[in-house]
Amino acid sequence: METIAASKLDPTFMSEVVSKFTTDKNPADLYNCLTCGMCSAGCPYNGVHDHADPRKFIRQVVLGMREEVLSSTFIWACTMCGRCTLHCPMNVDIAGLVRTIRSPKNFGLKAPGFLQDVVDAQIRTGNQMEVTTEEYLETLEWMEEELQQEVGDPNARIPVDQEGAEFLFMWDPREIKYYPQDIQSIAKIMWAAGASWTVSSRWWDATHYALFNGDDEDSTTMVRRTMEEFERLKVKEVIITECGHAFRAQRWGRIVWLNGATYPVRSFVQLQAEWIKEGRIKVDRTRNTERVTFHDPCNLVRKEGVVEEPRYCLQQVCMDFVEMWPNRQYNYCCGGGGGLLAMGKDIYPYRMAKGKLKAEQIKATGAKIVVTPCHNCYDQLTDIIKYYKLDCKVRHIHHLVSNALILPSKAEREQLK
Amino acid sequence: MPSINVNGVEIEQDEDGFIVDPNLWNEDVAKALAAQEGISELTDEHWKVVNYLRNYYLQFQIAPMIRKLCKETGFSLKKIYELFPSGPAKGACKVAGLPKPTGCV
Repeated sequence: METIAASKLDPTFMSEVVSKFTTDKNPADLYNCLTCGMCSAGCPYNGVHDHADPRKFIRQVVLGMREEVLSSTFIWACTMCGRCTLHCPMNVDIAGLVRTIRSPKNFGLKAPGFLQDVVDAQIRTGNQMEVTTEEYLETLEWMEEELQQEVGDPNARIPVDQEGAEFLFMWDPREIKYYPQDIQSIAKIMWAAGASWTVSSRWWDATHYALFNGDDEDSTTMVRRTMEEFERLKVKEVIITECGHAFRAQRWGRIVWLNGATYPVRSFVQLQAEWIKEGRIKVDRTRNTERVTFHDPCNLVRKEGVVEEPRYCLQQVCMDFVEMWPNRQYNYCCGGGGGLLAMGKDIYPYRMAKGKLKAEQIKATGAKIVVTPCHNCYDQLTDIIKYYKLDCKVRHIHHLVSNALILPSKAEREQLK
Repeated sequence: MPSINVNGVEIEQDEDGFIVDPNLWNEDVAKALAAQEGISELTDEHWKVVNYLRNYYLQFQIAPMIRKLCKETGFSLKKIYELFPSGPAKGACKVAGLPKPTGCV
């Protein structure tokens, strides 16, 4: 047992935390904490590795243990997955609290690893991978040509800066820099649906690492760029690529950082589900025969409520889809969320310890493919598969949808207009 | 953290297997890194990719766009994946001794 030195407690600490807390709920809701410990029971990592006790963290904040909180490993080892809050009878937002403490501008902390560099790169260059506009446009053109060849339509397009399009699609820069085949896969689905869509040449990065380092000023800059493009291009809706934290930051973020802005934001997963349901795109599930399971990204599913759409897609495009257990809002984090993938070697052992739970979940399904609509989960799952030697690969939903697509004829595409 | 010993030199790797100090890279290190990636032999085609990445990195201190890599080597993206099953970033760049790129890679 540790002793609490009453003389060292800082009675101003909690109110300072509350005053700096960015949330769409009541920033003072941690006053409602009953100290029941359901959060620590809900945290999948409590008992898996040390420093995984949200109840202890909240008590430290409430008691004014400033020093202990600011130097704690908990705030960096926590993936902000929100499973604790799911179990909390008073709905205390512990992930939000962690974010508030992490912020370099609130208490002067610096994230481990290269997390801050990623935020800085995005603020400075407009995208976290520092891709130049020329390189970006060249890559889009390249993939447009590849798509035209694949579908046999010289008019297949990846439209840039097209004013008045219905959808503004926003990327994860790694799709542009390292995984251009993802661009082709996404554009193929857009083409088959006859979608009226466009991408921006200016601010096109949907990702948002300031969600993880807690910097509200940088967060505001990032999400304001999206609003600017929404207005400039006069689109009806912003569509976010299959990336969990980006979707959270773009949807929840526009409320908290842009004073309740309400321009429509949806995930590409929702669009795919809608198009399959409407028959706007036609799919042949016999093209995906291997057993598939689904990993729920915390930001997309638990926090933003996109629960059934990914499942609907998979049921329609695969022969053998099985759930892992637990699933949906109750699923475990992959272990790499909350920016942990960018926190380097000191946090790596926590990532792999957390990943053991996920590895066991995947193994129990017997699946050969684990699907997740999130780039962050994608990398963590890839690392886990390697580390725990699973016979399995990782895919996004659009990979399977794209593979199952029955290409529409010219006449059918005309009808879609 | 892991490391590899190549010709008596201990070369430190980060948690993802990228070498920490790009200056310690040489062809034998590339072979050792490739072995870790499950590539038993580096063919001329592998070297073409590795050398392009290496030279680009030395010039610009960053990895090239995949568009450039394919254009300059004449290989399709599919071919790059055949050569480096972990892909251009986690496979080819690693073998070429580039440090792990920051960002969501």
